[in-house]
Amino acid sequence: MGPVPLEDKLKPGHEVRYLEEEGLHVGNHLAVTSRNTNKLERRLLAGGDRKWFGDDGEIISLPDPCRLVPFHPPVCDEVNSILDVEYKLATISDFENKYIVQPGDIGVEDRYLLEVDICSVTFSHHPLFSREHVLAQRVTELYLKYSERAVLGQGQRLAGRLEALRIARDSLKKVLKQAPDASQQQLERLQRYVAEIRETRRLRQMEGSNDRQLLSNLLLTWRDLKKLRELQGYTSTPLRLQIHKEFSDDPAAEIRAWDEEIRKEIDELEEEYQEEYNTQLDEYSKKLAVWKKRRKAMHEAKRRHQSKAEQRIEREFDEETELEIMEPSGEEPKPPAKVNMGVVRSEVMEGLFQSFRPPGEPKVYLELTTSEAIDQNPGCPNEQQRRTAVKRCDLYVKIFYNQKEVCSSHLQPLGPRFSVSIGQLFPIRILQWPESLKVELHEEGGTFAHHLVAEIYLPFPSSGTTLQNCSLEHHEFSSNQVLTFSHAGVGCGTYLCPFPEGSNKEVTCLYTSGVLACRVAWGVDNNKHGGRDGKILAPPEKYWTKEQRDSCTDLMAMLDEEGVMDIEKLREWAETSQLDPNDPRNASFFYLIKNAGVGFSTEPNYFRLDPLQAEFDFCKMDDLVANSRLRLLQLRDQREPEFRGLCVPLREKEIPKDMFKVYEKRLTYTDSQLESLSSDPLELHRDWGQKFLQKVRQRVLKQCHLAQQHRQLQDIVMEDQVPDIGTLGLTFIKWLQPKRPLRPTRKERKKITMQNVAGQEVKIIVNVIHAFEVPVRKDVDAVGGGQQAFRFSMVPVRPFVEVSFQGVSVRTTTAEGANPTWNQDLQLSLKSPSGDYSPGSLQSIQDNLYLHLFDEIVVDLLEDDRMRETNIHQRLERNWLGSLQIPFSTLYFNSRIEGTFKLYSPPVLLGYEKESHHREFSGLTILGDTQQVLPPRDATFLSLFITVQPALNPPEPFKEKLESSELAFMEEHLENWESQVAKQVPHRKVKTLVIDISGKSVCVTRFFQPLAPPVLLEGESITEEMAARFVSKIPKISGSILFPGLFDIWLTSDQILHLLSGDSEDHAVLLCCFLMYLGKTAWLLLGVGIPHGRTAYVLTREKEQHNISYWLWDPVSGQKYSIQDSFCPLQKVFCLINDENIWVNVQQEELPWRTRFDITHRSDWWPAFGRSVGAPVGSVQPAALVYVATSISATQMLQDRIEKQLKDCLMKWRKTARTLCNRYCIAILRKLLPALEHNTWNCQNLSSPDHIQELQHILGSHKMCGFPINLPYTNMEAITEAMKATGVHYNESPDVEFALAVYIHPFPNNVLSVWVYVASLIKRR
Amino acid sequence: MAEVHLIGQIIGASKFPNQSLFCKWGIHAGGGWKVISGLKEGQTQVDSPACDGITYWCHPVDIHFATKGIQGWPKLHLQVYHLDQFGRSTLRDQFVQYFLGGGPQLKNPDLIYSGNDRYRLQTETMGVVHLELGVVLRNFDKYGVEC
Repeated sequence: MGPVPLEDKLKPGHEVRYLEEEGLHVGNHLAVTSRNTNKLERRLLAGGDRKWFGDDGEIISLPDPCRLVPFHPPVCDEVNSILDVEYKLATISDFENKYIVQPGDIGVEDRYLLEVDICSVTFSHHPLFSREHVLAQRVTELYLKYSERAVLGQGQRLAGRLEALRIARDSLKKVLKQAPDASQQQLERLQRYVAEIRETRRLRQMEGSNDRQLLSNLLLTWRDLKKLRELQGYTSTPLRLQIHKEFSDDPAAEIRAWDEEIRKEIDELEEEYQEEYNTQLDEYSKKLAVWKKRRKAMHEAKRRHQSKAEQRIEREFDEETELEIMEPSGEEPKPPAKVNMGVVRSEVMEGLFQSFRPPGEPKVYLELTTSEAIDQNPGCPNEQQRRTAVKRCDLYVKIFYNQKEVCSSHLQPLGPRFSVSIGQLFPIRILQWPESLKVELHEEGGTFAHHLVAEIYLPFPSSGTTLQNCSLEHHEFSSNQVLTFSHAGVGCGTYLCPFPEGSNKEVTCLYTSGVLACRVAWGVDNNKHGGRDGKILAPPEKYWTKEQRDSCTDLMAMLDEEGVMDIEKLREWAETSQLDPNDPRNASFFYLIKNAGVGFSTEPNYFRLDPLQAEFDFCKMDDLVANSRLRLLQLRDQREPEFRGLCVPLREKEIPKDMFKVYEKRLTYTDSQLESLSSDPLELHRDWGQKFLQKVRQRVLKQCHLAQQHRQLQDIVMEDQVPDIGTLGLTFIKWLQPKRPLRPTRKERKKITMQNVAGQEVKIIVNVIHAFEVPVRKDVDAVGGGQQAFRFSMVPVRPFVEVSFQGVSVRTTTAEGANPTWNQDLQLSLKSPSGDYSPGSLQSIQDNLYLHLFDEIVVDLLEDDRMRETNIHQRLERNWLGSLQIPFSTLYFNSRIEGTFKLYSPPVLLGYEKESHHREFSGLTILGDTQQVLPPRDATFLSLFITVQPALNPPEPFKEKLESSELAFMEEHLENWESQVAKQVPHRKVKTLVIDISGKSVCVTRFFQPLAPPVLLEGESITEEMAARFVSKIPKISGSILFPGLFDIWLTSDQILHLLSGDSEDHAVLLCCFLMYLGKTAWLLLGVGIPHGRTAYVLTREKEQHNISYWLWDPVSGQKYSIQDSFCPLQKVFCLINDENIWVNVQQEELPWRTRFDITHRSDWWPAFGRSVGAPVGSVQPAALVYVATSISATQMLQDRIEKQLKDCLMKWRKTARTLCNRYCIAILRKLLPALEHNTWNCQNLSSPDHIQELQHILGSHKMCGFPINLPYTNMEAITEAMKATGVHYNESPDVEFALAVYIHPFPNNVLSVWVYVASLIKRR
Repeated sequence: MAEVHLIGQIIGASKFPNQSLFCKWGIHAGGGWKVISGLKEGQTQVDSPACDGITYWCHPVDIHFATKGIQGWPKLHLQVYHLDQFGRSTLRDQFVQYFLGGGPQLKNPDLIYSGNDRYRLQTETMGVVHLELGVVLRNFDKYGVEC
């Protein structure tokens, strides 16, 4: 393809131009083969477009961008320091714990080293200062200030700046004069110059006057000091101020300069004033014009007003004029005053004289030396005393790391100069994360034997600091100690004037103060085997708290996290680094600082590194914080108790506004608010106790939180065992074994981890086996009614059991007789809060499992006997016989509960009696030794088996080691003993160190001390039964509910009385202390009982001649059991504790009636303390308990309130029927209740015949069914729940009447025993 | 305000020279990002597969961010460690490592979050980490960000 002719490519009528020849730079064309060029040219021409071609007929193209020589961009060969790679040894990573290095980890002990170099301590005031010292200190301070200012030379700097500005202004003025049409910019610049000159002048004047003030102060003080020395006739400070005067060589020139200065200033001022005057004048003329106009308008309006008043026709009225009339015309503006230049001149002169050295005055240079000789033997005895006191005084420092003393320096004499050089380096090997570093300054011998002068907190250095690269830091300290002396020492904290004869008569208060010079740095590793010298032994900085570091040395440190510059720091930095403000390069910097500080304080005082970033933002950070949905999600993530397991809605508007109210209230909760909560002292006390426990619980929960995070392998991995030969073999053998279906073997259930539980339903299975000694009906005939009911009346009782949990209840079928057998499985599903089945949430379930035993009564309603053949019309009634309450936590911790339980039954059950009584009355008493016959048991027993399906893993005990208040050897001894016990009798748990309410562990024996029980009855000494009764009426909460993770806290006796709640151990401790006071030999017994699992009892020993009998006290119920009683709820005996020792049961047997209780037998009872180590002395209990009498009136009020509430509840529950009250019966019941309470104190038979006698009158006319319920007072809900559970309200008989009486017996300290007597009455026909 | 929810798992690693591996992970987001719930960093367990070339961690990642802008989008940062085997760069380090263990680590690990200097780092591929992450976005379309 040939080339395209040149003329085709040019625009018609254009000549060919060669730009290169015309001298323009064209550059190299890209080398393209001519074939391709031709092809392209043809194609473009075919399109008819000539614009692609230049004037030279070539295609317009850019010059060849390629270089001829290959070029490599400069890459620095040396490795960038931040890209450095270092070899790290294989390590075991540290836990984020209080300890950086786990204690006992020997290999890494010297990993972190803090070095504290204490150089010297210099006092700026000390109580042993004499007056001369005080003055000398002042001179020194002033001199330091003076020399600092002299070095800075601020005055000279400002003078230079002023000069420069003046020159600039003058030259600008000159320019303006030459060119009258000045641009706006230039005028502005002039304005700015003027303003700046004014500012600089002001500054210079201020600096100058400060300088002169300082100088004169210094000289005056020095004169005072000299005078004082003369006056007292001796010198005790070595201070000497040398004054050098320098007279000017050319006084005339000085005067000239001075005059020049004055002239310049006056000129400037005149100009400024003129300008000001002009503006004021302008303003004045404007104001005047306005004023005149208004006056005129007013006159007119007045005139119009008058005419209107005459006419009174015109109703319309111009509002404007009216307004104008109302407004006063105002003062006539005054013209501005002219400035008197004479005054200005004198002002200027005065200002200059104040701040600058006038001509003729010599320049003064000062020098402070310490060359003055001190008089060794002053004549004044006071001074001599002072000096001996100073000589005696020694000083040393103690260093505290994380509030623990780590080392202390040698004693150093204080010396007459009050400057102690300590010069000691303290290397501190640290094992804990740094929190605080404190230096304490101690003094010895001077004034007191030994005392603390001051404490100084030192900041931790940044992790790169070593002694080589850190400078000496001065830390000021002071103390507010008050001291006065009889000798010449001035003391401290007192008001005094050091030299009243001198010029300065100011009275000041001086406190001990001074400066500590020290260095703090991290150690450097010098002798590492691997040869990595110089490793800084600092803990990784990012893990410990960010300290506020003094960061004015580094510009980057001034940027805070968001890249915002801290202007204050910047200014500080600018001052210390002495940037030249005249340097144009710094102009913008100073402009920034000035503006940020002075004028534009409303503007944000920071700048952003990336100002355009904000353009891209969706919203502000505050919006993110303010969004309630996000906040909710975040709080839920933080596991705040109010939001745990909450379902957060998707839209913000679906969140109720008061969502955070409870949470915020909790955060801002204080005790003072609580006081206003309730006026009732009884309620208040309980509320307070609850709130306090809640607080402790929250704290403990937080502590436990970490521990609960530790998961075990089986929590995460569910692994089936791979069958091997052994298991396979066993299965084969099983096939060959004879089948014995009647003797099934127990199969271990597989424990299920919480992860797997999530999907399934968790069920509680209750197998009700049988009951015995169920009370039987007394008046059988009344139940049946007609003759046909005869077959029912044969049956003395028809009991059934109802089980309820979390509001759901199921019941067994009805059995018959006093010893019924059901053998029935009941299932209840367990609902965990928020569907979370982790141990943490399961153990916080506070629900109880209730089992109630009822008697089912069939009432025949058939009126007509003729229909009996064909019809059945009956009503079922139920009478409550007893109940059992098992907290879910007990079930959870024990994983199954089985045994025979004593039901809680009321002391009197109207209409029922025990079969055993029956027998007794019929003369069927068992003959024999009276000692062997046990008192008839007033109880019903129920055999149960309860478990959870699928089996849940009980939580691991909390094993975090806590701080102990015991000595280390004691702690070690107890731990050793405990581990030995665990080896010998592994399942018997003992307690040696328990946690008190402050979270520290204490030896248990310290909890025992005889304590006086309260007086329950005036004039009557308290018996053991009364004490037990008192203890049992303190409300009980299960320890596991209160403090999850088997983390139990023991309360001392005053705490339990104060909080009015505690778990069984706390009750037992209290009871044990009481019994010890009453002269019993008592122990706290830890063991396993039913139904609560692990419980605490009190064991007492009674000696009657040669018979030794042991008794067990249940502190929660207040019951006393003989050790021989096989129905005692205590099942296993683990250990005994009293104030002297801890004994663990090492016998084969652990059933109480088979255990030998002689603790002196070492083979039966193994003590913790023996000859080598004795039990710690000193009790944590108070010396005596203080009892406060409960207010009778408040009790009475509460009693009335409960009665009313219960009556209301009764009516509410019986929705369909009318509820009638039998007033007569109520009156009788009220009379009966106090007697019941008193009976319990004497352990008398409760269903005494007098009781029945009292009711005889009613029993004759009515069929009565009822019982008293007794429970400690916790709150109203507990009482109503207890009454509802008895099912009294189920009586549907149309002519039923109810009787309800409440009695509260007040014990001291607001402990209340509540008795509720409830009965239903049906008139006998 | 837009929200991002990252949910998924670090499945495991393959093709590493050693197989007893564990992984330290972290999510690094810019200043305008706020963690609403979930953990920002963590460490997996050590898995030593007996057979099979893949080390399984199956470590959950579940983190919810709220943001005021798209700058500083979260970055996942993974560090794979192994229990111990040998093989290093310089002779001296190899020597040290042979006897004492350990390995090269960056002095400033934060460096790798920004691309400015990262390209200069000479690295070597060690293996593949398998991730399965679901990214749930909310409200981004409100602010004109299409995804």
